Amino acid sequence: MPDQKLYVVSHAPYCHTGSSIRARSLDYLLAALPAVLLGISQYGVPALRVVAFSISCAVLWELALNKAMKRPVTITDGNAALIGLILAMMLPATTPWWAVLIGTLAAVLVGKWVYGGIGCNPLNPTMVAFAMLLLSWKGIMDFDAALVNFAPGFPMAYPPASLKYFGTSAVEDFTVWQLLMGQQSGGIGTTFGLGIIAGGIYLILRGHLRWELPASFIAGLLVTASLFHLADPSKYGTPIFHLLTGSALLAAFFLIGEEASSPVNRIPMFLYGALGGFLTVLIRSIGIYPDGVVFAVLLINICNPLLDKIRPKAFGKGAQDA
Amino acid sequence: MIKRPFFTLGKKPRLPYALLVKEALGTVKDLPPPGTIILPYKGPALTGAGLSIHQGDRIRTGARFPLTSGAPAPFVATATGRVADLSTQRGDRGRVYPSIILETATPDERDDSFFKVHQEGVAEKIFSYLEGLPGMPSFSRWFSKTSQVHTLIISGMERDLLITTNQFLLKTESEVLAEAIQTLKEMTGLERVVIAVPPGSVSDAEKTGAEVSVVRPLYPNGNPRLIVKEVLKKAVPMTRGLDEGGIAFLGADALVALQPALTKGEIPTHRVVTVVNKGGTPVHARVRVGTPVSNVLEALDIETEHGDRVVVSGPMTGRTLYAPDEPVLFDTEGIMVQDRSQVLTGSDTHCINCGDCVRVCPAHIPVNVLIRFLENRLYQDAVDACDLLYCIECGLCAYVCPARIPIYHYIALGKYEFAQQMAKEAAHA
Repeated sequence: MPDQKLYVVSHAPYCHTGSSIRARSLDYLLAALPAVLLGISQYGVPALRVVAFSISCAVLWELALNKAMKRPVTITDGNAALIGLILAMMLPATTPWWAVLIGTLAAVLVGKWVYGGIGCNPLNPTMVAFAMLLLSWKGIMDFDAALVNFAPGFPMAYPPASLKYFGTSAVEDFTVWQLLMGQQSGGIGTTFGLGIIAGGIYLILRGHLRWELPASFIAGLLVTASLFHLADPSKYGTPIFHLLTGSALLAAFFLIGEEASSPVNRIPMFLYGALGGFLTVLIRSIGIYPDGVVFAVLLINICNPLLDKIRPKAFGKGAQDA
Repeated sequence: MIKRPFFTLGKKPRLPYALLVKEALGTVKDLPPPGTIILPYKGPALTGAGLSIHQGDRIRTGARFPLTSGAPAPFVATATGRVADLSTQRGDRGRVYPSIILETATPDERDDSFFKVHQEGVAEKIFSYLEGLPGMPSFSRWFSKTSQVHTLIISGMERDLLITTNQFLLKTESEVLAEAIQTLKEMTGLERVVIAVPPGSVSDAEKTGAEVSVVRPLYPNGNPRLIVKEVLKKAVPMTRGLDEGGIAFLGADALVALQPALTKGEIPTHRVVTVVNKGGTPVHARVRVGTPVSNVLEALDIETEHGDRVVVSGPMTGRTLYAPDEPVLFDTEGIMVQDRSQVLTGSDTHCINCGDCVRVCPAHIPVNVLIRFLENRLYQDAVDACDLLYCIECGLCAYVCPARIPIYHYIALGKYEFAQQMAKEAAHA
């Protein structure tokens, strides 16, 4: 029947919203841009170098792993570029090239591909990589040591570290506006609070990020920090200080919402976010790390499958069907 | 294709049903009688051997035949003519069924056996005769001793988008519906008849004499399960048949088609379908049941090419045809033609766990986990842990999926495979 007219057969539905993974990734990249641009303007070429190198490495590692694992090429979905960008945002501007190279490999291979690629990772790939770098090369990841040669016109002491080692008196001079506008030391893309919030709101409006996640994370962080602050105001920082320093805002809007490692039902989302905020302050206040975000995120990632079991009953499923 | 708005705020997509307004209803087009009609018998699988109809036999409209000596349900012809061929067709999921290809003759000669049955006035006999019409639902439960149907819910809206058959019939033939409902009540002793309609059709629905229930005209509210839930405030899960609880569900189209049979003892031969062309414009046509889809498209000047898609029913839940020679049956609400340029393909990307499907699912199924079981053919786990059998089959999960996974297809396959497994186990038990 070579000349017979045949139609395309497939299963319903025959229409689609038009959303795609690529569009999601591009929106995330766009949302992260303000914070990254301010970082680059503050630290100049070294920051640009880290960002560009990190994105390129992540994409090339993805391509290499696609080929090695004989899988379809997935670099066009933008996920690898996003991993590269988020990792760069958390790194200090002086990170050496080899650390970026290893970090991106860790993110793409250990964070993502060993589990089977996009969507299969139980942990946030960027956080896996950052944790590995932090544990392996403490000196490189110590913001005070790494950024000692920069003088962008504001105090270059890393606020969470100052708070941890010298108490609230050391960070009294920071105003909220200063912190929001990125007048603080930190990772390339973690300091510009206003930019991160704007990006996050854009993602929420676009429907890529659920508002429950950042809202509950911020609430959990503020409540826990308030309790610590009330207990000992000279030792523990104010809730707002905790929120606006380190990677807390980045975590709220860009890290905890990573799809594969975060829950999808409403109550689990609230629990997950709140737990993240709580753990961040706990690690900062009584742990050994000045910024607890990375481990807080990894810990809540582990809780995700369990939390997501809290879900509504299926349509019409009652006692008689159980 | 209905695109998502730029800013969604994470809300569910809004998919309004096509709504008809009285001023712009248009008229129903009566299609010319086709030269050939195809009458499939979609009951339990039968092979061509042992058919009691033979090539060259003359058949009259309304004649009833047992297809084989042991066939559980008979078969009723919807046209007069000569049997040109008997063929065995293969349907979806490996189903095999015989089809009778009838060369139609004019004038229509009516077989009077149904009229005689109607004269007798025994409802059970009348309905068992009507069941034999191709595509008619089964009425056996209506007369079951244990769970007799007491509530009839009529849908005055559509299950799927773009199709407007039920609404059109409600607006143009409300008297016919009223008569059908009245006769049905008298024949079967129904306690309650409710008609579910979108807000714009309330005044037409009131004319039918049934209790009116208004449903928000947003997809998937036209789904039978959701309509029943809206009307009775009680969700009947997909694991149980609606009729198990004494509820019958019929579209307005089925009632309009049945009306001549119920009131006058005439076997129904035609039904109205919505035909949606490539541009998305609907036309309503009255078609003789058994007419091949190709004849319908030809009569309405809708051209199709190799590589287009022809869908029976609407864009969310319809079934595609691989060739245009499948017939219109009593359960064919509409036909939709999609240009080859609009044909989308799925992908085999992994689920990225964005959760859009979970939030859009009207049956509260954890689709994000379910799809992982289904991709790995773990059907028992899918049933136990993810409520696979509770899916009400609306297709929204696949519609919103950014990874473009054919989720609905996986679910349909999963249900089928699970049923096969169960049947195998039962056979060995």
